[in-house]
Amino acid sequence: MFSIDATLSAFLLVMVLATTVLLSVQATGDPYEKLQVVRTGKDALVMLDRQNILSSGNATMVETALNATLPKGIGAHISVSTYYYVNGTFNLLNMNEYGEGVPEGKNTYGASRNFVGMKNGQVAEYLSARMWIWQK
Amino acid sequence: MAKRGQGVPIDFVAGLFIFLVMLAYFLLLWDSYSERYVAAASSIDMETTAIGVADQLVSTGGMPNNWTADPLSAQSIGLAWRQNEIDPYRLSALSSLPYANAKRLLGAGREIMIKIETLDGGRLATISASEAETGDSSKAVEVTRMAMLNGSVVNVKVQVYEN
Repeated sequence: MFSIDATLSAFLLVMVLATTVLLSVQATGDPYEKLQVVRTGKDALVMLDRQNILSSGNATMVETALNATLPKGIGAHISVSTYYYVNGTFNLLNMNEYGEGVPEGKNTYGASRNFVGMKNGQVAEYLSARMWIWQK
Repeated sequence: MAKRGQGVPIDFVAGLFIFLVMLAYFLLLWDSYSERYVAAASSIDMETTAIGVADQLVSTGGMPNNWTADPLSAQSIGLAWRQNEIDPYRLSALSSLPYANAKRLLGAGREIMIKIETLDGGRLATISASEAETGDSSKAVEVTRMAMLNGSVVNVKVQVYEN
């Protein structure tokens, strides 16, 4: 039968080894993985906005542009809410959804962009786009 | 009268044996992981540089704002005339800069290669050292950002090489 000091020393050593392995595994992960995916999402939203694709409300156009813009291996879902402004309040006009369904059980990141829709040089509507983005 | 030596308790011997076995395992593990730490730290440093350079290119216009008038006197360089929109004049000025100046003004401490490409891979511009100066291409990190150039979406790819 082992004495208590031998048992304690073995226990402590096992704890130290387990901690070392755990910290080592954590340290070898890519700390910028999330940042890169989020940047990709933000860039894609800017591109779709600047090309007036998001404000068009044309699902085919948005889906085609999204597929062409996003790198392979990245999935995305976009929700665009359109508001009109009257008497000091924003009123929801409609909400459109584009892209793939958000998967369950995967790390999903978010990006958003607020912009305006112009008509005849005037602000006609206010749009808020939210993007869910993930690595397939 | 015969002398009697003190017996070594079996639990002490067993404890010492287990301790030595685990210590040896720990030392081997330490050696293995220390190599991985060095590689991971280098990779993270390259990635940090690539992210910083790519962000500087697509998000800033450089300092001073009209650095294209005298590129060699610029304090820092950027390609954007507004967020994610590349100014063709700034791109042209960056392409004409000597590589060493471009690298310094982008704050890169490692060898870099910048590629501006269309979404289908057509090359529009390349900023890099000559082949002889480029670092170990097998250990490179690449960061891609999207931007508009002349109304079209382009990929700004920044590769950073291990020195």
